[in-house]
Order: sequence, then structure tokens, then C-alpha cells
Amino acid sequence: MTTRVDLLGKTRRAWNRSPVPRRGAGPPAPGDVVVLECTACFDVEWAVLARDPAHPGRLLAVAADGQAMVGSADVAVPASAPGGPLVLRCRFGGWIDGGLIDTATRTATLPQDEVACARDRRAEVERGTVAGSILACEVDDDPEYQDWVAETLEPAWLAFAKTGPVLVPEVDGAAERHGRIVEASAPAWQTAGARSLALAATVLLALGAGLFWRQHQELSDLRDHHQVETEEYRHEIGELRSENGQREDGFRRQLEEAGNERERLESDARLQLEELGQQLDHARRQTVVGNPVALSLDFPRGRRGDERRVYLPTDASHVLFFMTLEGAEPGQTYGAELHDRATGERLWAKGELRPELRELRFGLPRSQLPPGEYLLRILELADGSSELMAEVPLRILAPQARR
Amino acid sequence: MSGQQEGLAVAADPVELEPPRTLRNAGSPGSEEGVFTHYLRSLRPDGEPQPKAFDALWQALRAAVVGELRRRAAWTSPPSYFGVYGWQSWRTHDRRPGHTGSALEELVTDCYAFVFLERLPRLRAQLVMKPNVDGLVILYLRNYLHDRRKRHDLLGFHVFVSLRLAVRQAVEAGELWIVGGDPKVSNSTILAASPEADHTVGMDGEAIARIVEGWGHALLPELVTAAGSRRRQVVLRLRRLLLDLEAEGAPVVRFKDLVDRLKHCVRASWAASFDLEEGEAAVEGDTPDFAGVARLVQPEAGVEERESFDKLVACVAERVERLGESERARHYLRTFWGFLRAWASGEGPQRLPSSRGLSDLLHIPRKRFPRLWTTLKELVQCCTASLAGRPSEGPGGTEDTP
Repeated sequence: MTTRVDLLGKTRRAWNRSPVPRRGAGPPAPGDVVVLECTACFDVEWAVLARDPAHPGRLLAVAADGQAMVGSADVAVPASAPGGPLVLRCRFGGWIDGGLIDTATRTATLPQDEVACARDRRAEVERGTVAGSILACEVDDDPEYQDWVAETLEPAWLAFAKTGPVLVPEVDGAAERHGRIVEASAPAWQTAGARSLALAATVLLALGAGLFWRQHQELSDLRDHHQVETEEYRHEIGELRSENGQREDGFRRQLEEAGNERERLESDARLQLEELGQQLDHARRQTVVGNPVALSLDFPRGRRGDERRVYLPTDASHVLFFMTLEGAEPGQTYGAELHDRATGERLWAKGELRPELRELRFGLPRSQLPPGEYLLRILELADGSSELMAEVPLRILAPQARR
Repeated sequence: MSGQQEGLAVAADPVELEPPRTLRNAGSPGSEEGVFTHYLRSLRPDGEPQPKAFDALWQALRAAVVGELRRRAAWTSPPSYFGVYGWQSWRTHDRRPGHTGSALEELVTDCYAFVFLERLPRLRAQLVMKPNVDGLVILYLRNYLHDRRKRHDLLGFHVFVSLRLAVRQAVEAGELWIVGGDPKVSNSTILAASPEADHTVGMDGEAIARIVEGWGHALLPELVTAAGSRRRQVVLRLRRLLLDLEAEGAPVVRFKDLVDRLKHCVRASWAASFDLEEGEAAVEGDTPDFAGVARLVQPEAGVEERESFDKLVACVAERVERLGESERARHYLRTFWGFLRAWASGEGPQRLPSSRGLSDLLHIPRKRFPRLWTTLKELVQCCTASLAGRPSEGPGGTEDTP
């Protein structure tokens, strides 16, 4: 539970822990974090990383800020380290005359291991070999981070680069984006005692010219690179559009194929409907009782009866069987089965027959009884089991056989 | 930060939560000094804040936080998306006698700690050179809330960032035009397939929902699980899908409608995987062990623990790439690790989904999970040892440091 008193106490402790900014306290050295007047309108500081061994007056400095997002070219100084939390933006830096920092404000001093780490990262930036972690790459692609870079770090870096003969690699077209060209302007210290050092001035001018030429070349290269990238983008857009067109064609083809498939399915459905219609007619013919033939059967003595010969006229639609049962009780259920006498195959069956006045009545469609030899069986059904009561051999004769 | 804050509620009435038009210090009319700057300058030599200045700062900070939540369309979202748990909405207040806390008070307290305690050295440094640091305070605040949402709503964050990046790329390439709202692409931005499109005509919400549902199915699970450069491929796929907006019946859309629908679709698919109760567990018995390692980021966690978790995530992801497994196996490991990362950041219940749920969401065959789990557990153990400075040997570890 954080109370107001807690917060006030924490604020007091944080204040006492934070370093007191010291204006101009001694010469700048690697590890110093300073605020430069030239970039005071931006929310960035500058961390000194190294001194040029060949020119001890020159210092390598990179931008630093307190935002939490850490990209692949950045080094985060943790809150537990002196001067932290701070993020060193190693992509945005360069060599600067140490004299320009004399009047700046030192706000912190970083531990040397953090400085060394940032120096290594800066070297990677200059070599173009930065390989950030997976999470750092995610930050690189975060639009919020890109906005911070475009709106704060790039303008601050451009202002920093204009302060003197700063050796800085161009940053991804930042100058073009902000409508400025980075030029090496005459440094302040050059005017302070240059007349007595004509030779040195000449060398410096030559160096400046060399640097200007190099920057001009770099800018030219970057413009070429930009043009190539633009062309590649255009090409990619063209490919995307072409791919889009191909996909549209593909969809059109799929639609056509779907149309053909639909026609085929409709045709199949029509055929199935016709077939079903025919089956329906057939079933109707079976159902409509036109000229039934009645056949009275006696209950056989000794279970199996004698063969019955039956002539069925051509216009007979059904055969109706009537069989008297001896000793049939009310409520008793029976079943009837028709078998092929030669093969024993069951051709027809009907269950749940109840005798009326001790007589079983059931019928078969004419189509079920083509001429042939059959065996009609009567079964007594009870409790899921069946018991054979009687068998009657049948011979169905063709109509012409009667003559 | 959890629990209730007593004594912090300077003005808890919701009507006072509207952000003020200006944060200028009311006590010094015409002054360029803002409320935040005035507070910092008014700190006594021993750092003790003055009560009146603190109250004014608290009101201004709360108004700024509410304004930022509204700008991010998060004012109606659950506070848990920012790691504030136990509250249904930002407006809910603790009604118990003697308690004055609310979700908003918790968040404002955390913001104060980040900006005015952790970043105090930076603010002091800038105060020496600048008359007003209110802009820097607002930047810190925005950055902090952005980072906090990323940590506690990884699903929503990935959807928002990927879609925003895809739209920006499409606009730069001339495939899409901004015809209204914020030109930097935010919730208010109105997008059109052609520059002449009339953005005043009503936008078909049904059509957008239908289109975006298809996107969700096409992009999952990579939209959530992909990391590093593979996320760029997801963004490119999303950019290609944007080309279809006009043909699909949505020639003009508001960015917020797109992103809200896509988030809804992704969250629904994610939640569905946890709803599939039946079936065997994807991993047996080890979940609490893993949770102990992966759930390092709790709402109360400090900067150091957050950094440790980030390093662990990066270490495991990088070791996966160095494994001597087939590309398919590494793809499954990447995807499963991406899922676990989102799960560890608080997305979903404490327990893992069943293997069926995971298989449906991640498109990984069920029988693969036990081996994937074993490999990832070994990688986590190696990375944990490595980050703690102990020698580590194991899968994907060609060197002692991650």
C-alpha cells in the first residue's frame, strides 16, 4: 500500500540520490553525461564515450535520454548503475571538439563498463554490423520508437552535427527528412588563435575540405541508395499489384469453376429426382391393391404341410393369405416368413401379426412372388424369441402353365 | 503496485478526471512554467515536496494519465491491460470504509514513481538548461504507458503495432491514403483506397468485421507469436491484406475500427484455445515450475526483474535459432515460445490450455508438445543459469553468455 507519506519520503530520497548538475566542473572525460546548449530544446543529453588518441581535444559523444524503449543500436544503463536509468543512442553521435563541452552541464558520470559497452556498439554502428536481440528488433519496428527517433533524436543529432567539425556518419537520410544538409561549419576554436597558427589552419582547412568532400560523397551515395530503394519499392508495388491482379483472375476462375460444378450438381440432382420418381411410381404400383388373389391355407398337421400350387393371373396385384390357427390365444403375436425353397434364403418377413377369430391374415405384393418354389413359415413370437409353428411349401406357377 | 492507496485521492470525483486544456501553473499566470516544472522547482533543498505543489501535481498527473488513456482508446478497456488487477474499470472506486483507492489511482501512483522518482536525475539535468520540462514529463508518461501495455496486453499490443506499421508502409508506398484524422496513423486516422474517396460517407461496420475476421484466421498464430525479423513478414502479409479493403467492400475505414475488430478476433481465438477443457494436458506436471521462471513480471515487479525477463525471452529465442533441429522443429519451438511469452505476460488463465486447444491455436501437431516442452524447459534453465553468471551448457548454447 503506497500512501502519500510514502511517496513524499521516496521523492526526498530520490532527490538526494540524484546528482547535482555541475556547470563547467573540470574538463569533460569519457563517462560524462552532459546537456549541450545547442540541443537544449530537445529532450536529449550527450554521453562522452572516448577521447581521440590522435587529437586529445576531440571526444566521441552519443545522444542519451531517459525513454524506456531500447532499440538494436542502443545501450541501456540500468537504474541501479550510477547515472542510470539512461539509454545511450549509439546511432546518433560523432566526434566533437571538447572545447564545446566546457560550457555544458555535466549531469552524471557513467561507469566505465557501460561506456565500453556503448563504445563497442558505436563501433558496430560505424561498421554496419549491429545485430540486436530479438526484442530490440521489435523495438526498432515499433512506430512509437520510430516517432521518437524522427521527432527528437534526428533533429537533435542534426543540431549537434552543426556545432563544429563533427565527424558523423549520415543517419538514414535524416538530413533530407528534416530539410537540412549537414555541413562542416567553421568551429569556434578555429577563430580563437588561428592567425598565429597558419600552417595548422591550412592543414585543418585541408582536412575540413577532405571531410566535406567525404560527406558530399556519402550524401551522394545515400541519394543513390535512396533512389535504388525507391525503385525497389516501386517494383515491389508493381509486383503486389500484379499479384493482386493474378489473385483476382484466380478468384474469377474459381467462380467459373464453381458455376460449372453447380451445373453438374444440378444435373445430378435432376437425375436423382427422376430416379426417385420412378421408384415412387413402382412403390405406388405395389401399394395400390388392384386384383388381389386370396389363398386360404390350412394349419398343417405335424407342422409341415403339403405343397400348394398357385396360379397367379397377370393382372393380380397382391396375394392375400388366410391361415386358421388351432389353439391361438388372444394377444399372442406371430410372424410370417417367405423363403426360397432351393437356397433357403429369406425373401420376405413380417412380424407382429395378431390373429383375428383364430385366423392370421397377411398379404404380399405380386412382385414378391414370381413363379418358383417357396416355403412359407409361421412363427410364434414371445419375449424376443421365435418358435416355428408351421411350414407350407408353395409353388407359384406361371399364368400360361395353367392352360 | 497493488492494494489501495490511502491519502492519495486529492480529487476522486470522476467529473474532475477530464484532462485540462492546459497544464500551465495556475499560480503564475503568463508564466511558461508548467505544473510539473513548478513542482520540481518547488522541491525544498532536502527534496521534500511542498503539500500544495504536490496536490496540484497529482491532479495534473491524473488528468494527463486519463488524457493519455483516452488517446489510446484505453479508457474503456479493462485496467488489467495495464497491469492493474482487481478492478473492473478505471472508474471503479473502493467503497469500503477508510479506503479511497481506485484502478486509476494505482496507475497514477505507478506513473509518478516512474516519472518523478526513477527519471528524477534526467529531469533535474534538463531543468538546468530549460525553463520548462512539462513536455518531457508527458513524453516519459506516454512512453511508460506504451511499455506497460506491451507488458500486460501483449496480444493487443502486437495487433496494434503490426497493423499501424503495415498501414504506414502502405501509405508510404501509395497503396493506401490518409483522407482524415491523424496523419501519423492513430485511432482517429481515416484510410481510403484512393485519395479522392469521400470519407464523410458511413463506413460499413459489418463489412469491416467480416474482412478482418478473415485476416485474423490468415495471420494467427504468427501475429502473436512471431518475434524479431519474422514479425516483419507478418507486417508485410498484413500490408498485402490491406490492398483488398476496397474490393472487399470497405473503400474507406477508420483505423480504430480495423484495429478493434482485429484485436477482438485475435482475443476470441486465444480465449477459445483455453476453453477447450477436454483432452490431455499439453505438458505434464511442470507448469508450476515453468510459471516460476516465466512469470517473473508481476505487477509489482521492478525494473531489474523486467529487464531479466526481457533477457530471458531474448536468450531462449536466440538459442532456439542455434539448435541443431530441423527448420520445422525450430518453427514449432519459436511459435510455442512466442505463445508462452504472451501467456507469461498475463494473457489467459494460470494453467496452460489442453494440447487440443494449443494445437488448434498454434497449428502444431499434438504429439509434438511433450518434446517441445522438454526442449524449452532445458533452454529456460540454461538461460537462467547463464543470466545468473553460472556456466551453462545445453541445447543451443555454443557460448556461456546468451
